[in-house]
Amino acid sequence: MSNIAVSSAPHEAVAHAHDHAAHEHGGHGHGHHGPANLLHHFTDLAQQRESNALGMWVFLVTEVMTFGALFFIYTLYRHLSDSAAFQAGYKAPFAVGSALMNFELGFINTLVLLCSSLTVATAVYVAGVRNKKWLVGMLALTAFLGVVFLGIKAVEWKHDYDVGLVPGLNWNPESYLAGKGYVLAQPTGVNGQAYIGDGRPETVKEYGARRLEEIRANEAAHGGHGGHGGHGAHSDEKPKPFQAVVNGMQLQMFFVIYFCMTGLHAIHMIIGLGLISVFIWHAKNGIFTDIQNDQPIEIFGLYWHFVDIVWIFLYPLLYLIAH
Amino acid sequence: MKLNHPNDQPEAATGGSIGPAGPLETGGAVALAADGTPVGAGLSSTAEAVRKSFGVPFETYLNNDFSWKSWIYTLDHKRIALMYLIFISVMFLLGGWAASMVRYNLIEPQGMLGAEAYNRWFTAHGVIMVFFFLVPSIPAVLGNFLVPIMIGTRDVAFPKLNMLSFYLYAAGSIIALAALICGGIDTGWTFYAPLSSTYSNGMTVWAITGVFLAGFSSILTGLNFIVTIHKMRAPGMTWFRMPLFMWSMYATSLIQVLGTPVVAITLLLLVVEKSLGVGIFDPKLGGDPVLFQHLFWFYSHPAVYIMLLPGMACVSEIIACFSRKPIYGYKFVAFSSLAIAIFGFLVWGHHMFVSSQSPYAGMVFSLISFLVAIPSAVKVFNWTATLYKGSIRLTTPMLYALSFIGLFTIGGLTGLHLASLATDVYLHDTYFVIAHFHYVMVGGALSAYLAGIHFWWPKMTGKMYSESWGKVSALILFIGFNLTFFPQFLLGLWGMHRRYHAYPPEMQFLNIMSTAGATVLALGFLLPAFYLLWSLKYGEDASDNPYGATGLEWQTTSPPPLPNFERIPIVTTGPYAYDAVESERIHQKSEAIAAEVRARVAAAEAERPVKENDLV
Repeated sequence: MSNIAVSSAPHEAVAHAHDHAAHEHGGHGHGHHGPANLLHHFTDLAQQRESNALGMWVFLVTEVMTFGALFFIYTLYRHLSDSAAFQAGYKAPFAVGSALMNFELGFINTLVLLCSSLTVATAVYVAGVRNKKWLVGMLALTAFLGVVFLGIKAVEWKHDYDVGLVPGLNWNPESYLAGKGYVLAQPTGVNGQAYIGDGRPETVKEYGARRLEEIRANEAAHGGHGGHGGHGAHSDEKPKPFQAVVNGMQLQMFFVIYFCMTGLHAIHMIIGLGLISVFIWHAKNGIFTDIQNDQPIEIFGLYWHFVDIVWIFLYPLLYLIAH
Repeated sequence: MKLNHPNDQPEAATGGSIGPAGPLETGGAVALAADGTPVGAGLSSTAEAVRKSFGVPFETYLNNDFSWKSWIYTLDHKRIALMYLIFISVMFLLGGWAASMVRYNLIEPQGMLGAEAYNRWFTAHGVIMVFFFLVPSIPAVLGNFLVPIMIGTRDVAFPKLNMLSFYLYAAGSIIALAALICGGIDTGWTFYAPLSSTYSNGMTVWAITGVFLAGFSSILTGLNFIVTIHKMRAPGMTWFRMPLFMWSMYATSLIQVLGTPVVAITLLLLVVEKSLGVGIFDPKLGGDPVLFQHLFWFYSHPAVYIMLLPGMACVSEIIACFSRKPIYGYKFVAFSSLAIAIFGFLVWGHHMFVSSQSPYAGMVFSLISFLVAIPSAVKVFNWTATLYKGSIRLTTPMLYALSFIGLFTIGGLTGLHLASLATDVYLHDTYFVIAHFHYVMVGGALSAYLAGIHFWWPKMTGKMYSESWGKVSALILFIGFNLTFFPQFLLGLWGMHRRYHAYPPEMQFLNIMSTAGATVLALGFLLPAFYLLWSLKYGEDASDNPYGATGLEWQTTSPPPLPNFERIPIVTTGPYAYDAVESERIHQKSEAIAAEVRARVAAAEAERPVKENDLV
């Protein structure tokens, strides 16, 4: 008659009803039963493993939504600025921004991250076969590759800062752009702003060529120190001929999005590195290999792969669209 | 007591805890273990009687440890729920104070506080009430307490995340409060850029940081519930045997998990824009302010369903319990929760009909907004059908739940006016919107929250509050609410603009009505605070199942023991077995009457021969 027939779950047959020692730890113990790494509120290890895995997947869904908003912003502004630039006769600002990226370093970074995905996958495998030595090694290698990635990223950012490509902190890209053959449009637009000999408004191309000459003459007049660090990193490069005019405001938007996306990605890398340092420590103590609990490695692997996948999307969108 | 038809249909569920109309005296159905002993702490009155007769205070989650550390470091979902309750109540009182200042300002047409102060008060009201009260209210308090118990498990899947979620909320609310005290913000709760990023004076960055942390807390709660509901259900607790509370919480969690990250990153970008002076949403620097509105409402429209769906969750439980009937159309009500969650993500554009959004997008958003009315109406009709021919008991939770149904219906129907493109152009940003929103959020979500708090108060604290005070305050709330917000519909139709500290003098009468109503409303909110707290010390001890309700949470003690159940229950039928409960009660009653009749007949028979003998 009762809708709830209660019987004891298997592991409960040996359970102690109340373990006061455990209660003292935050009032949350119920005595251990079953395997040592089974938390008290789960019925069995299978339930615990499934819950943990599902938890990470749900978390990754929230991450997809987080990065998804940024990708949406990227798509929108790339579309808006491309069509605006096309109408004004400028070069698409996202393409210009992408051309200013060091895509070789980005390529190396992509390789580094792909390798780290391999090492994490290996770590998951060796944790499964309880190989402690290999587990520590693979985790350490993953951490090393993560640090290399962040190091290369830091080099890129440092360069961007030096040449004045960081919006908000140091945005003064004119002379660096001039070195690459690009000229910033005036915020009000160029058509109709200046006139050449016969009273005809100068075209975008004429404006760009004239402006490029002015900037270079100005820099030459101010001595050989290369102006605003414009040629700091590329002083040995020859100044390129005139390429295109680009809307500075829209170029700045590209760099805002670039720093937001790669910055958020780097934050995720740093969190991953923090986790992995703890896991290396635990792995050394045999926690994942001795007590048959390798699942944290697997779940960390999910996270790490996700962060890699984000980069797989970031690299072409930010570095390759100019090529 | 022989009504054992195994049946998966919740509507036709059998068995259940059998209770008479009043407090459960006989214990009714006792869940039995295989060996026939009562299981589940205090599942039966027998166990209770034994406990009381021996004078042994049974161990609950509240009295197993009294040290302050046991609260600070607690991983127990019930204690975390109580800590949330305390924090959320404080935030609610502060938000209510800000609301009273808003109403105070609007007594006079030229405003009592001045524009600058008024902007800060209404922003404080909005930020506190939306992000620190409504979003976490039912999920974090009642959800945390009930989700594991209702599906028969010991805790949520990730107790540590649950604890982290509480502390993130606490930190966020403290930071936001500090920002509101040290200068305040004048952007409105929507933080529209570029007003918030460029022009506003105040502690915008800190307030946004607080909201950001509260958002993380909300994500973690949602994540926890999703995993708990998927993986931790007791044996036999199939999806369609879950109480409707769980379906609504599941839909809520989906919104929390899918929507909150978007607003989190948006607010983060706003902080970047404000602190670095770059233009992500600032048109002066090439940004698009409408983009901010899209991203903001992509979360914040579904967020109103984060606030409302859990309210519907409480109401479904309470209506079924006090109508003594299984809920009408269980699956429809369950799926309507999911439908609301899904449609909720497709309608955000109706907040932006008068922005530069394309009119074609406006038409589509308008159409989909109308669709939200369908699952909402399914719920209202099914509750009404549940009430139909039920043995309705007008207890305090029931009064709150009934006022929810009425007020939410008004709020929902006026939402249709705002969802239609043409009408909205006129009504946009008027007090009509304010009235609609408050009918849904105060008349709806808050009434349901109070209904839920009253309904599960005996379970949470083990004490009974004063039923008569409860009914009085429910009545005061209903009257005060309508007096406050109904005039605002009229004000909105007359064109009174929201967020202005001043208004034309001919609107003063209705504004004074509204302010007077707010005073009554405040009384309606303060009364429960007093009699509920009073009940903690002086209230009667609650029995395990004071309302004769079905559901696993009523099968354990009040308050529950630390692990919720002595043994994990095995569920064999659906959640609303009230028809069986009631027919059992009627059966018992008729048995009693029959026994009484038999006894009298027997007594009469015993007397008759004597008389016959006398005659002979």
